[in-house]
Amino acid sequence: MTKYQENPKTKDNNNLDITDYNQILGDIRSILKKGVSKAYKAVDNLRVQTYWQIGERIVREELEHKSRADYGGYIITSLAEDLNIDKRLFYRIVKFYRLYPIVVTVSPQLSWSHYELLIGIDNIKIRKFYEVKTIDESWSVRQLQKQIRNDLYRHSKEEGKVIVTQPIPQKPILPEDIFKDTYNFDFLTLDENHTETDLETALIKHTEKLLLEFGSDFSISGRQRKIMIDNQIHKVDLEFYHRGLPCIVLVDLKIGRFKSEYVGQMNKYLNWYKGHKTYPWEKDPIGIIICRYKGIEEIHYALGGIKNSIFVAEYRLKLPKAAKIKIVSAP
Amino acid sequence: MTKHQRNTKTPNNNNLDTTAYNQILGDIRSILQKGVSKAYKAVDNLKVQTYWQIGERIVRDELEHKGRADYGKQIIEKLAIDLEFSRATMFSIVAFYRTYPIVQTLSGQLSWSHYLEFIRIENKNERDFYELQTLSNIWSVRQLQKQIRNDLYGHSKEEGKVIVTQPIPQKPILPEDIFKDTYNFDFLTLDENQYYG
Repeated sequence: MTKYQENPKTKDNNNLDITDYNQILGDIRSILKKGVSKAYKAVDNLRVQTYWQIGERIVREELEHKSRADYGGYIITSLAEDLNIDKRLFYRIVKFYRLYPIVVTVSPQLSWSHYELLIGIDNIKIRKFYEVKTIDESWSVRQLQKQIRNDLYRHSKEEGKVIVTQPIPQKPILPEDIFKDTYNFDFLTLDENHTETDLETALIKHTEKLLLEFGSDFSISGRQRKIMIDNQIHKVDLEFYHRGLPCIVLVDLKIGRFKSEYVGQMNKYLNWYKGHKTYPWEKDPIGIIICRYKGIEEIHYALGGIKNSIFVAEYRLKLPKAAKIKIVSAP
Repeated sequence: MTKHQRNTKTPNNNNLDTTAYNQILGDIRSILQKGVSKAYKAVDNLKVQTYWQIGERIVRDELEHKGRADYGKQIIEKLAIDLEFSRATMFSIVAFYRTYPIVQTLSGQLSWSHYLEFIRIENKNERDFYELQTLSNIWSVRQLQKQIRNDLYGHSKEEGKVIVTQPIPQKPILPEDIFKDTYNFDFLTLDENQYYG
């Protein structure tokens, strides 16, 4: 994609270097964001630990009164009332403890919401499978949810059971549910210093895996599409189509850090596609910028006030181990 | 928190049941309280760490622009506006880093509010003294402030010994409550109900 030039002031009214200042401001925003994020995580981990302890205490009590029918149910009902906590939460807490009775098997990488999803899986093998996958691939709760919904369907198929199909959704699909924060391009092998062209070419070579990573409703409709805006030719990296929304999805690949100017570019392309390429029955086109490093604050600021839907994500690669250097002695 | 006796709804309306139930109710209340306290502490600890990192970043920037008089002050004031911090907090953050340039000297047992008190003490010996006293006696911020006001340091120097006092508490202060006590909502909005839900 082409870049546009900008000539901002380099010093502000107090003679402070604007670039330097923006750098430190950005760094500090990033520090704050990370800190807040760690804080949420720490609180959630404590929540998981606390719930585990509560589950243990309740089950211990149940065991002591084994002879009583549904003593557990009675306790939970009373506790729910006295502590003003939803009864259903207690049932989940107890189920959680029963499935993870050994506290060291409880992973700090998983949030309570992750565990709520996992305890819904009765089969221990399948549950373990999703547990490990979630940790390895750092799935968000939403991603885990999607994977469970999709794969479980496939599992049933493999086992030759009757397929209970996913009903075609009656309510409209939301773009937020379709786009990921991180895309795993680990099916590619690229150098540390790969160019955008390298990345794109490699992705197209592995179209099937690329589409699998995006999701089942995606298809590729074009790459390096040339469009003309204000007598200048621009090129769109990847043009996808999502039949669920349905709309055109423009993908812009960036090998470096996210920059707010990418949003301006994408916005231009989306406007062009809206005017020239979108059928009346389709939704407005959506853009997704996939970069190596996302950052968070800058995105928040860049996207504010933009009418088009633009998402920003990061991609992850599996980098090859450093090649052993061969020393060839000269003849 | 008061416990209330449960006389109705027990399966056999049995006193044994009531006792057992009150036991578990109490235990779970305790688990929840400890969990919430740990959460406040964890958040405050992260706040201290985060503020340290911010202080470091600002001072590093100041050093790079050494030649400029007043550069530091300008930057801090501008940052305060852009980050939506009070000027006072921003200056405290920098003073904090300057007072504790080595991150390993920070204690997880001390809250940000404690540190705000310490950075006001210019004399290092005096500051170290109060830090040690706070840790050994598990002082809340209010207790620390009181001791500083009463010049405990000055008095102990005179008497030639270091006093490790246990002030008579008005109500027992649990270590975990220290962080709840000093909790400041600007870092993270932590709602107790949100924690339970």
